[in-house]
Amino acid sequence: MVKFFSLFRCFLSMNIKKILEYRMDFIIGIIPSIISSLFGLIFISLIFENIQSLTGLSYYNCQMIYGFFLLSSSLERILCGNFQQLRGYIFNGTLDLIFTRPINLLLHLMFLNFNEEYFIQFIIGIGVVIHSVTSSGLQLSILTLCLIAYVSILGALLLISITIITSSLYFISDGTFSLFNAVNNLTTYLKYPITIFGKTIRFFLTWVLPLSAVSFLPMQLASEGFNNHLLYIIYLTIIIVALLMLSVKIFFYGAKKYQSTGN
Amino acid sequence: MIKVDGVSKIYTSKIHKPGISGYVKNIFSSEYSKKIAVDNVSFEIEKGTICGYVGPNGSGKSTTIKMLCGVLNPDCGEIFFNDEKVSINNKKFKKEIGVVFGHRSNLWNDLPTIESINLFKAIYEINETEFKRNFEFINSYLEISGLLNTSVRKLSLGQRVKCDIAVAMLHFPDCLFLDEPTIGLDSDVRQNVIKMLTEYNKAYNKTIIITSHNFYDIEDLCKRIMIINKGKLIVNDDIGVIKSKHIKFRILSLKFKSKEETSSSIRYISDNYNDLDLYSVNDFEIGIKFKIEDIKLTNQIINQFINNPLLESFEVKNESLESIIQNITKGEILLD
Amino acid sequence: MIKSFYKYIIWIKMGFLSQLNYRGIIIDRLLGFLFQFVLMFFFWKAVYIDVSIINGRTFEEMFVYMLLSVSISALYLYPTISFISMDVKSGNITNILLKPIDYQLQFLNKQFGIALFMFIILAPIVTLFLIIMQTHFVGINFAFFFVSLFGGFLFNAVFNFLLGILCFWTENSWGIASFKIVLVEILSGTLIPLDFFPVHLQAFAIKIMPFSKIVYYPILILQGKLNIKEILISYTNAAVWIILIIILSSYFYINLLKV
Repeated sequence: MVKFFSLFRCFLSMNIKKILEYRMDFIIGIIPSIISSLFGLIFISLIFENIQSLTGLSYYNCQMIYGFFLLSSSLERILCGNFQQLRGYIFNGTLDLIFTRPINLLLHLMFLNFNEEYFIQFIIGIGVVIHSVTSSGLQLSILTLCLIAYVSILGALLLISITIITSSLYFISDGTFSLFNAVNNLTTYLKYPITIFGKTIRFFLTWVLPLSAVSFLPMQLASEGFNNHLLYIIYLTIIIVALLMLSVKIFFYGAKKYQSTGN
Repeated sequence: MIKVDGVSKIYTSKIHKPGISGYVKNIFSSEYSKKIAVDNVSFEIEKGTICGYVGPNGSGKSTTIKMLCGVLNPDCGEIFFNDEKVSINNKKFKKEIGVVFGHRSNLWNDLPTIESINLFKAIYEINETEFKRNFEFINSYLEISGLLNTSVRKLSLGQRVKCDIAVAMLHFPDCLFLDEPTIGLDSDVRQNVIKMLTEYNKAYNKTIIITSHNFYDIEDLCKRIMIINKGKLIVNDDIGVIKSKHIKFRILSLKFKSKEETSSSIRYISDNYNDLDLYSVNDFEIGIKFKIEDIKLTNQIINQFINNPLLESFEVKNESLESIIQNITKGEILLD
Repeated sequence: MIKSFYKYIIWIKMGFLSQLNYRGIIIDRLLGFLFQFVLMFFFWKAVYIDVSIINGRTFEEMFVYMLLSVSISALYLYPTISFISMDVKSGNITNILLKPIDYQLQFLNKQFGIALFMFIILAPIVTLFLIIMQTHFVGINFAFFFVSLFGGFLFNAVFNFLLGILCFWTENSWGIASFKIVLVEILSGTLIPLDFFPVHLQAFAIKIMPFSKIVYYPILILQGKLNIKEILISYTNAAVWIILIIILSSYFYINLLKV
């Protein structure tokens, strides 16, 4: 455990030094990240200039959903943003060297590169949530707040499991095939209420692959309270933890199948 | 210390057809070719040996080394390190090995070398006293203390290779795997590396496995050599045994005092002797490669020239290790 | 003459073929687009539940707009900037210095080949959706559309080149590339049609800025929402910007030589 923290500290300091090394590039890169996150908000307000409600949800509800989405997805990106680089690591042989080190492969890949811009997105997410909650005049008890935080974390864990499974495809295909693009496109739509989908998709997103935990459920908790949702939250915990364990197993299974490049 | 038992590795890769139609077909069809990279290889390496692993390109060297390091999983057979099975998840084993892949750096490209060193210090849990002792030892041969604060991407190839070797040895691993470690090193540095590895093995009884196309490395360092060709292990012996068992040729080298004498001697020999592997080393030296059995022939030629006043010197020497190994891999000798 | 052209045309083929290499990535991309289109459908359907026209567009027109905007921006997905900046950073710079026009034309043609590839990949899916939505486009608009599209492509290409050179000063291409992606996404009308913007911004964003010529204008032309005068003005605007960017690139490029 001690080793975990000292390693974490070491990687963190190296990543920070890397940012400092390319200072100007970092600053230039942070700005579009902020603009991008804020534009999501602008998009919602531009839409609501023309309509009154989106599937029965108010402007502030939609804002809340967007904010929660930013929270969970930026948490996932901070930890797993580097997994998309796996293809590059396989191709230039870095992965071979990574395999020879006595660190847990999963943690190693996570720590290798912190995507710092997602910290900013996380903070913006918190800002958006706070703004939308106060604007709609909702008063949240401490317990509700805790449950909301808990569900958001569960949502982030679910997104992490999905990323881990998607990146395992790289192992099996030697870096040529993965579904990152497709999966990303799917999960970005969680910034909108899942009520826009038909009954079957909603069912799928609530019970089979419970992505409603990412943005929709926290919004429901904030606006309706937790009374109707306690059982569902327990169900979520079980399924998401199970999915997380499954994804880790798949990942290491994929690592065993790894063929490496010829030289 | 290392035991390899009946290990094989088969690569499956897609067949790429040339031309645009080939490319398009490639999207829809999936033809795979199977290549046996490593074919039922078994060997044992005792602790404290320096072992050279040689073979032509594409013979399965890198694949075997990767399996020994725990990077690849063998398709069949098993590898044991200190009686424990080697696998991707075996962290204890990874702590006891150090790896240098000559073509790829283990260092962080954007940061100064010292950062990578600190990282490895944390990864391998090297405490302060150990670190000081190890670094002293390495630095005394490689002299990298001046390079510590330079960004890795600004180092020359030779400097980077030195730092790679240093970082691999930092935790004084029980077994060092070196895959082409002397790439880009000038002869001074190379000699220091060889000296360091020799001392490392002698003083601390560490095992070293080295692959290299530079046969001077192999000859200076290794006690044992394994030769792999087309995936099969064909020779696994001490270097002296290999030389004496498998030597087929000797080389008679004649050095003359003048260019004209050299060229006329070449003409003379090629006129009077057929079937002789004759070549000129430079303007003043010619070499004749002949089979070991042909002693009479050698003596004959020597007698022809020994009284020549323009002959500066002559020498009969064994063919080089490189040449011996080439004979072997050309399919002439099998493992006995 | 033909021979010297061929030297550049061959880069179109290179760009095209480079994308064919990995069928995994193609499937990934295609699936991604499919998902995006389906999800977009649901989203806009929900938006249009209570209203029938927003900013002069019906649901069908809105969906077609988004369909086309995603497809057009997909033509330019290739990370050209990072490749140019890699060339600039590494030894290849001698290539650039000796033959600048050559190099630029090479890259231009390569980008064209890649865009062509993405076009061919996407055309089936887009056509399918268009048929489902029962859209009809007036014939002549196709011609104007392709000219406008090509203008947008040219602008994007020279802009990429300028940014690639600028990467020399930031030492890493990530920041500038992200900047460009977000800038263009918003200002080209990819994420949302530019007529949603507040009126006082529209004159600036739409008429003056060049990015709208990459996505917004071509789609508007195809959907028949512009008259000839407006179309020609947009062409001129694009041409002016292209020349401007080329001049800027030359300036920075000369500075690069000095370093």
